[in-house]
Amino acid sequence: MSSLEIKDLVVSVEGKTILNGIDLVIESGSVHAIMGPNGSGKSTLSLAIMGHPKYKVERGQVLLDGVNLLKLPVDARARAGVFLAFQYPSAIPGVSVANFLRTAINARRAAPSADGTGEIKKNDMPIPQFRKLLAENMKLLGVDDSFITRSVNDGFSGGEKKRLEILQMHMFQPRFAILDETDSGLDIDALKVVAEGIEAMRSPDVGMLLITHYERILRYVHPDFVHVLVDGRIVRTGGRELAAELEAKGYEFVREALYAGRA
Amino acid sequence: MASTAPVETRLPLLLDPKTVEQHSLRRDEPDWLRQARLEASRRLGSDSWPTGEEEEWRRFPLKDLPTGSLVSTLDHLPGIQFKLEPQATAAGVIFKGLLRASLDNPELVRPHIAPGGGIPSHTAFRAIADALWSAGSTFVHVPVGVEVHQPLVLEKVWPAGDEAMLSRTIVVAERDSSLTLVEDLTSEGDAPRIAIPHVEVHAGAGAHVTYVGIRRFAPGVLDLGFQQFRSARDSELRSLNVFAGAGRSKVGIESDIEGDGAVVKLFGLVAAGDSQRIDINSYQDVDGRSSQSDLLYLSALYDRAKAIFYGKIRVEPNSHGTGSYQECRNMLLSKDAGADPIPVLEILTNDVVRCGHGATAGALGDEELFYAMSRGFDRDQAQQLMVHGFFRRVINQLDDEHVRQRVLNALRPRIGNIAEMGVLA
Repeated sequence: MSSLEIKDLVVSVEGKTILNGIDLVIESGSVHAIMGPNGSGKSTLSLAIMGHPKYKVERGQVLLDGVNLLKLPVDARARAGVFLAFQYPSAIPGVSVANFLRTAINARRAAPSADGTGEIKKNDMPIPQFRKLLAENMKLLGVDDSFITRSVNDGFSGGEKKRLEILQMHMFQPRFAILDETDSGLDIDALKVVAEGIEAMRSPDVGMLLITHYERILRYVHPDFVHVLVDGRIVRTGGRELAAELEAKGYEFVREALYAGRA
Repeated sequence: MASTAPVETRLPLLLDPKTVEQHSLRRDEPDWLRQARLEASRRLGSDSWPTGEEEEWRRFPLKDLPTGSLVSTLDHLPGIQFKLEPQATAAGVIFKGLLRASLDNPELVRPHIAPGGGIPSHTAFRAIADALWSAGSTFVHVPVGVEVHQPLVLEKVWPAGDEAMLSRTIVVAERDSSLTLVEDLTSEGDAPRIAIPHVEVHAGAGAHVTYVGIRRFAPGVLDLGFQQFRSARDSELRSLNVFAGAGRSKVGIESDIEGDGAVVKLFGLVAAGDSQRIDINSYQDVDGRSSQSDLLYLSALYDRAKAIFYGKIRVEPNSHGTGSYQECRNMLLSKDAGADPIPVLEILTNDVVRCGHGATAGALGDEELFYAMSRGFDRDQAQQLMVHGFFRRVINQLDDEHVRQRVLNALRPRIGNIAEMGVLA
């Protein structure tokens, strides 16, 4: 049983405060959705947790089983078990999907040797095991062999990029996955496939944070908790019914209620 | 000008006819070869030595010239092996040292020993190599219609020392023949020394030729090499130069298409670091209808390394329907690395299908690095992966898996091997 605990997180970008103190605990086995209007800080939250250099953490902690991730370099956060499915994944021309996945898996499996020399001990996944894992997940995401021979995200459609993000999530088997607007830019068929890919990830060992603008994807992926993010704060938390309420009444309703309550 | 002064006085002295003659006599060379060397030495005059004012030489000051002897006493590179498949031997293919070939096959060597033309930027250095070439010189001849299936691979390793490494490679592919030649050049020791690998490739009508030159010279080496590719009608010629060493390079590459329907592809990979300077002058001349000449050079530049590329395309009058392109991409892996691509087009006909150039120089993107690192690669691994991907565009052009591996092996010390971890062979 693991937990990802976000404590009083304050983040700024280029001197402007975007997140104003986020508190959120995600236990493994649970799925949380964060919903919010444009500019509310949804992507900032995901990128700050992962360690994007543009996002400056002013205050707070992100603890993975008590270890503050914010003190670690980006790759160490990934190795610790956090995965971010990007809203806008980058292309890596000349590196095939298959090569990228296998290299990443082997890089993640390599560990500093126990003798304290700082040397990295390789522990490559045997090729047959890799092939089997890849084939299973390709089937799940409905992609064929031509997909994995193409360069990572190079010339990919929006739907293909999102499939690759989910494929990576399954290949890397993280303990916590943050999915940043994975539903954006997808037609209904692609949305279904991607949502099934997310749903298939659900397990007692994995915690998920689903960041979304629309309620649409929550018809396929059923969160245990829904949080509403407005102006860099979580202003409401509820169950699945909160998503439906938001969809019906809009974010303005929450914002008005919030500021009315304060006045 | 002042910086080149000592050289201007020194080099003509070393290249006096006596020196050249003695070099030839000591090697028991035939008279015609000696005369060719003397003829070459006469091409080195004060007017052929770069002043530094030329467009090609403005960015590569010829200072700190190594002072070791230009005359090498080494006649054979240790361990060099000319391996040829039995069918090729039976078909009359010649693959041996240039002196050996001059003795055994003078009728084949002699027509090619005194090359004409050539871009002026390297006239002086070509003259030096042609006058004083020694160990490491090679002759390849493929008769009409003969196809050599296995790549010919030469590992040329110059032992430590400060003598110049002057060599000639002459490749003659007769009509409708085919071959791949790989030259893997290495030098040992750290002493400052000059290298002038002079390569001439003649692709006969309809011939298919691939030339791969890998340079892994030691840090003290000043490489002033020159290559000339001559393409007859309907031939297809591909070359790849890999700059994987630690020395300085100022290399001239000339491609002359002299016929209709010829295809030339000139590729280059540069992986340079420390304070290396890799400076390339290319000249793509297209004289033939519907012929094509394309160049693609990719550089990964680390530390304070600098890549300079001055390239010219010239399409001759009456060369209708040609296509030509020059592309030069530079990946800057340090804030102190730099690239200076300078394209020049001279189109002397109105009837071209395509002609152009593209050049870029840029750092690795922060977003791309962050993306790769979020997958568990550390910064160095992420960078390696991207350089490898960047180079793939050229490496994928190599059909032969062994040649591909050889190129990757040469690049590995600079660009790392992370991406190879993932190859599903």
